[in-house]
Amino acid sequence: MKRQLELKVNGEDYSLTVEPHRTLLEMIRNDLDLTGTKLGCGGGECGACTVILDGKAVKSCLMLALDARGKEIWTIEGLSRVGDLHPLQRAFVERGAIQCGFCTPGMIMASKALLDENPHPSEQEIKDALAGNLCRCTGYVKILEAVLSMAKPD
Amino acid sequence: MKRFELLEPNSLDEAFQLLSEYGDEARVYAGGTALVKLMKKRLVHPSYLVNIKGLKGLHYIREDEEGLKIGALATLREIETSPLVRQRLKVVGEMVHTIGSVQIRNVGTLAGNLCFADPASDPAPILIALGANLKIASSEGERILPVEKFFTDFYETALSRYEILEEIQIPFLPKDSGAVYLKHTMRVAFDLAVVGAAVRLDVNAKDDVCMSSKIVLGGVASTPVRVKKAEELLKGKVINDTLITKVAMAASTEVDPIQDVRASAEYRREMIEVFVERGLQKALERAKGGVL
Repeated sequence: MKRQLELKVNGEDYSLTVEPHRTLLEMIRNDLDLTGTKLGCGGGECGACTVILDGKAVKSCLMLALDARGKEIWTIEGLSRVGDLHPLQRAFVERGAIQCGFCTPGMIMASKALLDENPHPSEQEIKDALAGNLCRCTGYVKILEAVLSMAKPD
Repeated sequence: MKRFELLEPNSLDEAFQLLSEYGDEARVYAGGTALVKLMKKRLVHPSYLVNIKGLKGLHYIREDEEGLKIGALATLREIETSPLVRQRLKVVGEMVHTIGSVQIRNVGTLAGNLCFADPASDPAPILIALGANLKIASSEGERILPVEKFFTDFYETALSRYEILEEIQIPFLPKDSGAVYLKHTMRVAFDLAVVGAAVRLDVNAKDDVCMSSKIVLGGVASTPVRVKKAEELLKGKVINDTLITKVAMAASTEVDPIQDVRASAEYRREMIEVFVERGLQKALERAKGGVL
């Protein structure tokens, strides 16, 4: 039986109905048509589905869509403003921290959640925050450099 | 995922009622990081999920005279970053930091980790070593069960279908006691333990004599294992390097390690020796240095 779901995504209010067995990721991609968030392993291991839910990075493939009732979600689509990349996105581009791009939305959302909570993370703190995100093009060094460049000195 | 009905009780009593009504067809849903994964793989396909996420009064980390009290809905990340946990039982925060990834810890709960009962669970060995108890509730009332008695087999616990794990109670370490959890993984990050070794020592600070000890291993059998013969070797003895080596060797021969995709039985046995040795050294250091 479909249930009512009200939530805020990238600053906009949404009201829709979903079935209880739909994951948050399925709802974001299929119902909201926000396909920037990726389905990778589907088992919480690769981090490609990372979104920010009430300020915290979560794996949207392991949550029910109904878990997001009344919550605020940010996805990769919410970062750029009228064609202007978010500074974190620009840092990824400028440092070559992207290759095939599949892991990038998850990497950026996990990094953004970290930077929002802790604007001056150490290299180790960045590694901890990104431990749940896999990149199979093996671009970890450049990803780390991109996030470090955003970690403003104290 | 197969279709299911999401049931949303407004109180624990309502939750118990739903569990009594639907029995084996229902599962309790809290963090869900393990359960949703199993449901997606169709290893578990409940017809009903009893969602306790919204229940008031289960989401806390607090202390009383005896120890920490952690409610069923406290997330792993909240425990990891809790100033209270850091000040009063640092070893618990350290252990939680080794679980999954930040995204998983933001959602998953300590209670859920225990109920899932993965043999490689990180909290289980150290909670046993610390002498933690579980408050388990049902419509019949409450019972207190030591964590040590909770795990019965691979992914099986003493919890019945009608019960909910409500609170984890972890006693503080007395003065002159030290505890540590060491986890051996194949990758640095985000991996399950090949061997998880929890060591707790209660010493006499004046002469390093071991009053009592607990050595608990995770990831090596169907449930966490206490190596009691190895513990016995420590009792009443001065803890020095020779004794530590002897105890570590005894620990490795006391268990019959499992063999799986992560490691062979032989390798696990070797690693038990290494990690029990390191654990004993670190726990002694902590007992003497007053680290909680």
